[in-house]
Amino acid sequence: MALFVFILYGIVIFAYIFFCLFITYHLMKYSLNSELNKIMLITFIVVATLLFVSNLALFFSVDWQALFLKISNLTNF
Amino acid sequence: MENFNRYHFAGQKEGEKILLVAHRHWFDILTQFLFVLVLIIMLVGSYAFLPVMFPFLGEAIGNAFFAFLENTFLLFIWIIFFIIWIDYYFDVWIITNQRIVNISQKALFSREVSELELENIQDITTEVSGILRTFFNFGDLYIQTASEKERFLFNNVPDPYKIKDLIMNLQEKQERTEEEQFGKMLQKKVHHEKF
Repeated sequence: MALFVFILYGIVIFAYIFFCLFITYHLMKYSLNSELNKIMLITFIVVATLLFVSNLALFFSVDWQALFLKISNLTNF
Repeated sequence: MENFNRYHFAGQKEGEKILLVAHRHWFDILTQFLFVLVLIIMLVGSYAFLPVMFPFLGEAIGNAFFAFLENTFLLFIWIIFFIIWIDYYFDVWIITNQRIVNISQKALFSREVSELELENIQDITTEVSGILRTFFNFGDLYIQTASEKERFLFNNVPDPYKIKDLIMNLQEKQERTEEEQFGKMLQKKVHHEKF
């Protein structure tokens, strides 16, 4: 079950990185106003990175085995 | 008039000056951002309701899992917010002293760039219909053209009347310049034939 969660999380993180790259590429390549472009790009990259790092930290802080055990115990009752 | 000196677009010609950059009206993006707002309300609401519905989320194991879920949700709200922003911000009409360029962000991986030379403009129509459009002064502007693409559409742009005036003035200016050039050419020819 834990392996399934890891695979699923891998897909989610891959999608997130993919969309982040897409957004960054668009902001860098197609922006008309260079000043606004810098502000948007910095804001996006900083927040997206913070969210990504915190998400990774939170994912690895969860004891998945214990969690599934707990959930299966709860559903048994 | 707003200064567009800091603006530059791919394919801009030398000496070509940007006179107006028009995006869709802010009301258009507001309706899309309502979806993001609903997601944020769901996120905030889940802090209050989920631990009540699932008490184990308040325990040590569940707490970390709950924080992870909330963070993942926030991650996607952030991405959705920027995708909506990109769709709005990169959907743009640029009026220069030579032509009109429409850059259209149709979908995530679909982008269309079309342009119209001022001399190809045949007719301009503006349409502001409905209470909200009238109240906030935004609407559509259609340009009938003599080129391959018969109709050029400015969709939900703010103050379409101002844009129409600007385009018509530019067109008149260009026609005058062409006439002057033609007159000068004729004068030269007549002068040349006389002597």
